[in-house]
Amino acid sequence: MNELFPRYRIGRVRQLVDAKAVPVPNGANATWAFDNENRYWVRKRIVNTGVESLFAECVGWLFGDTLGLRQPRAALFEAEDGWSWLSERVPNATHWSSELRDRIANLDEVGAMLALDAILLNEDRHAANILVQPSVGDQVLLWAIDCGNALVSYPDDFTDTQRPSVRNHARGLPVPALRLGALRAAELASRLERAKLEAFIDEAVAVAEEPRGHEILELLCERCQSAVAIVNDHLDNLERLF
Amino acid sequence: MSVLFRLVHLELDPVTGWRVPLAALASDGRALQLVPAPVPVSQLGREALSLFELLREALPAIQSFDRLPICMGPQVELSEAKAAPCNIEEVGVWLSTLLDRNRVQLPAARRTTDKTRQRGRQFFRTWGVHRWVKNRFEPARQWPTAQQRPKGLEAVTHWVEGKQRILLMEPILPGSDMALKRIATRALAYRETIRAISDTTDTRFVAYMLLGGSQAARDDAAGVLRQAVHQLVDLSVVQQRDDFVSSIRELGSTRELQI
Repeated sequence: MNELFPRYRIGRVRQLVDAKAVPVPNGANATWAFDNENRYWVRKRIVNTGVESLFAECVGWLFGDTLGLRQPRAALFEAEDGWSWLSERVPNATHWSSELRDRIANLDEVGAMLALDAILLNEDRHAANILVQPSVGDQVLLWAIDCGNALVSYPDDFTDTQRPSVRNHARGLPVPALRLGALRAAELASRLERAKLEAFIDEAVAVAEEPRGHEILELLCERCQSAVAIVNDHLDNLERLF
Repeated sequence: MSVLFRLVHLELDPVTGWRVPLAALASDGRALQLVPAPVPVSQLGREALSLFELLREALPAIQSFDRLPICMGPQVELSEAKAAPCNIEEVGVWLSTLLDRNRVQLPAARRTTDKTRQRGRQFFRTWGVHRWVKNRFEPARQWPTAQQRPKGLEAVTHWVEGKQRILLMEPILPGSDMALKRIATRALAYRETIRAISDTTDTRFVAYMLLGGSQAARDDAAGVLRQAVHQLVDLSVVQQRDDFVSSIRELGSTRELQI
């Protein structure tokens, strides 16, 4: 997939067949789909989600990949009605429930997810946007999905001082146990070179055609420099919430 | 008082619809009764079994007859509500029996069966074009030097070769979901390979739908396949059948003339 498009880190899928709708509320009319390599995807069409969502998904996935999140593989598919964002199906998965608090196997990766949300101003980390996959023993692995509502697409809201609201956040995460991984990810973000962040934005702009990409890059650079403080504040807010 | 029930299914494959019952719900309009299904140990792989057990623990979170809580996740679905027989005394016992009997909806045939292949061959014989139709298009043999050919690309059941065109033809028996999905995936892989090879031969992947199956099954099959293949031929439609037969005859004849 990527060999054909070495410029981009997010792969392209050439052939895709739709199956039925994904049965989740507020799923942006997402459908299951499969490609010529027999991979299953969750497909979100830009005509349903909007260009801002596609931009946020691209930046979120690239940034998340760098921070070490556990997230499904992503790809893009271009059809007559425009681009679709594809997120590979995580098999045998359910949604987050607070009863699973003490069974998380990948605490650092979940911490990195919180760091990503804080930096990109993703206020949409509700229970359905955390997938749970059974792991060895009695443990579970948490996957981060759906960054489409992150405010990184809206430069007027994406300021260096802004902190994400936690009003809709999934309840019951063991925040103290996630703090170490979150702060490690925040430190990593604060050390990212501008060229790297520019590559994220450029790749997203290439498909989402965001005219204010340069402005967003500047804001993202500023937020990354303050990442440790931003993430710390976000964790504090989450701890108060729980 | 009438009692309604629904099955709670764990769907293991969103394309083929393979699923197992996770529980049953019954409601008399006042109280909700939940009966967990037995664990289908022998039918599920380790990962799916772990999910089944995880979800089984979450079943008490179901508080509504009509809606599942978020924590059940994207793979769990409610069946339509149906009325329980009115002469049963204990709904829970009846549901347990029901769940035990319907332990697993096994997927339909996993491969294009011999029957489908033979029926396809019989179709060509009936319409007098079998002499031009070859069995098994094997990509490794036909495209030996193609770098772009993915490993493990499966053979196509029937094919006909013309002077500058090849028709790859896959018979479809409506109602066989697993085979359908497999063929659709294969068609996509072929289309991508054909595009990448881009030699001078015009190669097209055609699915031809044999007679039989319900109209709903035919519509479902057409809905999936139309997105995957170059052409879908419904043999129950006279015009489509005749055009298909003509194109095979025409292609085969050009090859003969060339020889």
